[in-house]
Amino acid sequence: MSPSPEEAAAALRAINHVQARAAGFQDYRAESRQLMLWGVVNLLGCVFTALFPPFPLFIWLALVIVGLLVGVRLARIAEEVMPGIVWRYLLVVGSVLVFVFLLHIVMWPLTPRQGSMVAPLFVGTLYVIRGAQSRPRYMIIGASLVVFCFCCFLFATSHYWWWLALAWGGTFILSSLWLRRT
Amino acid sequence: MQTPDDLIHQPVRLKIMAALNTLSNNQWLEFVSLRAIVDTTDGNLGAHLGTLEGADYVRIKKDFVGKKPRTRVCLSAKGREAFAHYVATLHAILAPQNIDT
Repeated sequence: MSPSPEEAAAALRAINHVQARAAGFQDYRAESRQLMLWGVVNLLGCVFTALFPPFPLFIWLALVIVGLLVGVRLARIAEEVMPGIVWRYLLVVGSVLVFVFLLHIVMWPLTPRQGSMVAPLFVGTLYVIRGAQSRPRYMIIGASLVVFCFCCFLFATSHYWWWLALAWGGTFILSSLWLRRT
Repeated sequence: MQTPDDLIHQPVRLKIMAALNTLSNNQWLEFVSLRAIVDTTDGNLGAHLGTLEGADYVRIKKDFVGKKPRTRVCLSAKGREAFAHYVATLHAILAPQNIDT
């Protein structure tokens, strides 16, 4: 028996709903792994910077390289579901790194405290833009990152790097767990 | 009179087909991911996947990642064609004047 137009419309709405959910689910899953990775990288970076203040460049350089290698490996896992993700991933992370590097040159000399704000504020803004365009959870993640890190910059007078580890790495790690609970 | 494919018209199977149709050809979706998208139980999903597999609409692959078993699902060419026809039928029901033209 043929369904009524109302039933047909309901079926089409169900299809649209599931397709949007499927796209969001895959996107959130892939992003969740990256947020966990970079959350740990940033957390370790801040902790090691707090423990070994004379060597921030070496610490961050080593951690970013390790993060990139692991990140590409994670992106390769997602490539089966999202073709071309590895190149897009390298482009995005590369752009962030180049932006941070260039901004340091433009604004030189920056104190380590000032320099530590460039990446989280930029990445947070990118997430807000991405969230406004596609998936609202990214907007909340980006806004949280900007607010927590900026509060840390303004108010954390002592133990700055420890607080930043929580604000930056912690926000990423909690966001990763939140996206996994889609 | 347009009659949609009864196999697909069942609500859970409709969700399964719609979710798998978002993937490209020969792309696989893990069982646990599909379960979360369709929002149903393991048993229910397994039963409906069995029905769809019997009709050759989906392909199911079971393997191991390390020691952990993994089940993945993919839409077959026949399933993709059937789903496209199903959606076209729904549109035709909503706009019957378009059928004759």
